[in-house]
Formats: sequence, structure tokens, C-alpha cells
Amino acid sequence: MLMDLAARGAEAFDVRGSAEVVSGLPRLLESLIVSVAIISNLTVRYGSKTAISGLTVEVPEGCVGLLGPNGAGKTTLLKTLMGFIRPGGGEATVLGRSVAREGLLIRQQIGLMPELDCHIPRMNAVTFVAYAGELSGMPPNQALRRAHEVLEYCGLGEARYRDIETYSTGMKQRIKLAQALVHGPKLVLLDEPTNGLDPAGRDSMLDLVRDISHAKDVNVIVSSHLLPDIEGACDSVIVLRSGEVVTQGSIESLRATEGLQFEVELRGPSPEFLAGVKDRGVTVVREWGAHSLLSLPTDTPNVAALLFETAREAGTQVRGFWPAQRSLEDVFIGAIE
Amino acid sequence: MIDAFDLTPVDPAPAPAQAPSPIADVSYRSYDGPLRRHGARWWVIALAAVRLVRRKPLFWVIAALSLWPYLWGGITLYLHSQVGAAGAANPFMAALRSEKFALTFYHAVDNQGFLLFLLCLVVGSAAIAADIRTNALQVYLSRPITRADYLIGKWTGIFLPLYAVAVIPSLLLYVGGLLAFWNDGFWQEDRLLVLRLLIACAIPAIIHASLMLGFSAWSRSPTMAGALYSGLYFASFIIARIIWHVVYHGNIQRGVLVRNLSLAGVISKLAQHAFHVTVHADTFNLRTHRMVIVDQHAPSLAILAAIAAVLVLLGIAAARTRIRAVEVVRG
Repeated sequence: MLMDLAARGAEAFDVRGSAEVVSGLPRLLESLIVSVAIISNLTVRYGSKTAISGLTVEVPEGCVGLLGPNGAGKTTLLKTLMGFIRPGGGEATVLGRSVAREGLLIRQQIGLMPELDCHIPRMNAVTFVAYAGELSGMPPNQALRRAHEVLEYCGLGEARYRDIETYSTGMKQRIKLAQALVHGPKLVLLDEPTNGLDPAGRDSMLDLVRDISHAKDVNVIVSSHLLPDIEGACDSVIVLRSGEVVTQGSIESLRATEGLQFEVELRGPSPEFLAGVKDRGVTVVREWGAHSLLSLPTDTPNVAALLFETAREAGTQVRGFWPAQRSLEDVFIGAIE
Repeated sequence: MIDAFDLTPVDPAPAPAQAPSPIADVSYRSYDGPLRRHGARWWVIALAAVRLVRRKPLFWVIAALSLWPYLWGGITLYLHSQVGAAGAANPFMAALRSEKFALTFYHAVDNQGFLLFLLCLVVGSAAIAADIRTNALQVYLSRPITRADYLIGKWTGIFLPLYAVAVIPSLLLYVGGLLAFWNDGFWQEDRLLVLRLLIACAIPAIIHASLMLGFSAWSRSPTMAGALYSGLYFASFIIARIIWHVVYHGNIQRGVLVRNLSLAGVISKLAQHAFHVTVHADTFNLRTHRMVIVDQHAPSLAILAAIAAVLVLLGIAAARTRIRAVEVVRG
């Protein structure tokens, strides 16, 4: 978001010719980004059990994924940010406000989509969402108008007058999202938003999440243990394990490989090609079928020439090659292990 | 002829001008409209509870039945005014020897007591139990409201329907009494009667609302909450009567406190204090083998008020401990 702003600002001031200015401006703005949440040395205990111990992390703007195995402390962290759980120690601020002292003001600007099904009994969808808006302080007429809009946006326009207890699982997920959005929050916390959804419903929910964060300027924190969900919807990720941050960063940067690594696709499996690249100082990281992952010396002047020449000598054909990226699964497993 | 076979694509006809859509812009926008102050949030919860109660047919059935004690009171007063002093011999009017207007109201409140208890089950058993069952507490507490807002809202949502059902017929009877029995001393007998009936009607509503809230909060389902509260209501009544019979051998003039040491008894005797009346009860004298009328005074107001206060605080405190957005496992 701020990068776009930087680029647009650069255009507006006609500094496109100055490479230094254009490349420097995003970096300058990046340094000025206000974190959505700043957590410092946070400790949360359930009785004698410590769920989060000395957690320190800054949650950036945009769509952030909270990843971690079961019991990692993802839901506990969300509930602490909401003010549901009083921290045993440390400090946490959300949107610049202290979790311990300004819970009401924080909740005015936050929407929560809980993991479990939740609704008010004997209410239809539009009444429920309007009621949620009124609880956030909206006047009844405004809340009702917003309820209709948000339900339409979440794809429940046709079913808005049905009792929520008759909804399918996918519809219940959407109604939870609608009630989280009705009061126009600055930050939405989504706890396992694709739980129990079929593939089509899951894609549809992820589209909504992407749209909220990328097109509607709402910051989103998605807690999930489903890597493809996070990969598809989020800009950055925080990986937790046993209540501690094990890795954090933008998905792009986390997926980037170290050194100069390329994935190569040949016409078919070719041991001669692999032997040839090894002779040229290249390390074969992995090979599967006609594919191979190669780690080249960082001072390789012309990767294309090296690959094509080796292929010609081995009597094979290069179908394609591209900079290698790790999958989020690799990142996650690497971090957890 | 040539034109008829000309297959060159032509531009489609322009679309007709569209009328402005009656549907609002459906794309999501951030809300920057007005917000109400925080102090009124509990009222939103109370109003929602009242709206839900209004949709229950059983509420209206019991509310209609609750009119009967006041209707009966009105009929009794009318007959009393018609027969005059001769009415003293009538067993239906024997109880109205003195303070007849205040006593009529007291008897109406007392007779309505069981119906208010039933109404409390209909109105209050689901108050918090249903929210716990459907995880609605997270919806409430993720909003800018406090646990106290939620609690006060839910309490008011039970209290208001109960109080309305109790007080509206009593006020109607009061207005009717003012109009019909002015010359019979309705106003002169007790000028504070309207205040007394407002207080007396509030007593069962306050006690039921508080206790039901506690039971509802500690039950996983509305049915369970209703069953437990019914258990308390009937068990306390039966146990108090058994103890009174054993200790005081059924002497109606002794052991008034023990006899009324039940939920229904405490409510009834507090109402008696509110109306400041002495109840005259018919009882059978075993020695003379005749029906005699015995004066029944209420137990000490301080003791009754203390018991009621403890019940109210217990109910609210019990509910408060359960209102959490997350289950916290101790130990």
C-alpha cells in the first residue's frame, strides 16, 4: 500500500528519472510504517500453564499470517490482542493503544472472526449483523444499512433473512466475517477463516480476505495452520512455535533462496547434464525427473549461457529455467525444525 | 436483396438508460459515521433481549394469565362496595376487614407470584445459557463493551418484562380504584399506595432476574437453567414448610420467619412490608372446631431485606464469574 503511494508520489513529483530517489523513497517510507501491533516481552498464562513466554514481535500493516502448529499460541495471541486475556507480563499495543489499559478503544477499531461458530440465538442474519453494529456504538438505522451492505459484500445477500441456525458451514463462516466488518474496523482478526469449508468455499473466502486487505485498506491478521491459505492471502507471515516467534517476514523474502539458485527443466532426465554442470562448479541441490534445482556460484556471469552450453554438450534440451523459490511449506518446516 | 445477406456485424443497440438503482452501493466501505457514547451500550443488549421475548407466544399467554389476580381484586372491591358492611360476613371479603385497598393490591401481587416465576423461566432461562451454547459471548465481548455492560443489559432484559407484567395491571387497577372508589376512601386510606405498589411489583422482578441470571450463566442450556431454578423455587418452599411443621407443629402464629424462608415466601413477605399491611388468614381452630381469622404479621424487614440482598448479589456474582470470552482452565 505504502509502496504504491511512494511510486505514485514519485510520479507526481516527476522524479522518475532519478533512480536513486525512486528506489530510496519506498525504503524511507518503509522505515516510517506504523506497525499494527507491537508486542514486547509478552507472557500469557492459563493458570500454571504458560501459553506465550516473552514474545516480542511487530505486526506490520497489510495482511499478516500467523502460522504455527497446534498449541503454538496463535489463538492466545489474538485473544490477548483483543483484551480477552490479561497478560501475565510484558506490553502489547494494538493500533497504538495499550492492550492492558485501552481495551475498549482497541475493540472499537478491531473486528474479530472467531474460530468457533458463533451467533446470537433466534436472530436472522441481518438482525444479527445490525445488532453487532449497534453493540459497537452505531446508531440503529446506520447499523441496519451497514448490515445489508456487508452481508451483500460477504455473499449472503440472498440469505440475509434466514435464521442463522439454518446456515451451512460456509455461510456461518461468512456471517462471522460480516459481523466482524460491520462497524468498519481498521484491523480484522481472522481465526482459522477457512475451517470446515469445501475447496470452492475456501477459495471464495480467501478471495474475500484478499479483497478486504488489498482493496479495502483494512489490516488483516489471519491465524491458520493451513499454509496454502496463508500463502494465497497474506503479504507477510509470523511463524510461532510454543509461544515464541521462530521466523517473520514478507512471504517473498522468506521464500527467496540463499545464493544464486535456479530451477531447470530439461526435455527428459539427463545424468550427463547434471555431470556437466557439476564440472562447471555448480551444486545440484535436488533433482526430480526432468527437473533439477541448481545452486550456482554467485559470480556466474551468464547463467543462460552456462546452462545452454552444458545441455548442448549433454545432448539434451533446456525447456525452461527460473530463479528458485522455496515453498512456504519449506519455510515453515525449516522454521519449526 | 444484397443488404439482406450482408453479414457484417453491426453495433448493438445502445442500452436503455438505467434508472438509479434502489439498492445501496454494495461494495465494502469503511464506516466513518456517528457512534453512540459508550454508556448506552447495555441498553442495546436489554432492548434486544426484550425484542426476543416479545416474539415468544408463551410470554403473552402467561402475561395474560397474570392479569387474573388484579381482575379478581377489582371484582372483590366492586362487590365489597356494593354490599357494604354486610360484606363482612362473606368469606370472600372477610380478609378485607381493614386496609381493604392495600390488602387487595397485596393479595393480587402475592397471587401473581407463581405466574411471575413461570414468566421468569420463559424470559430468563436462555439469557446467558443460550449465548454460551452458541459461543455468542465472543461476539459480545469482542465489541467495545465491558462485562458489566453485558451483565446489566441481560439483567435488564429479564427485569423489564417481569416488571412490566407485574406493574401494568396493578397500575390499571390503581387508576380504576381512584375513579371508582374515591368516595369509599381509596385515596384517603393510603396516599402512598401507588409508590408501595411500584416497589412491591419490583421485588419479585429484581429477585427473579438476579437469580435467574446466575442460573442461566451456569447452565449449558436454557432447559437446564429453568430446571435448576424451578428446583430451587419448589425445594426451598417445601423444605421451609416441613421445618416449620416439625418445629412449630403447624401453629400459623408462630415461626413466621421459618415458614417463609423460601424464595416465594421472602418475596411475598417483602411485598407485605411494602404495602405495610397485616394479612388476615382463615384457619381452623381444633379446640372450638370453628374457622377463625388470624392476623399474620410479616417477619422482620431487616432480615428479609438481608436475605433478598444476599440472593440478588449471589445471582449477579455467579453470573459475573461465568462471563468470559475464553474458557480459562485453572490449576
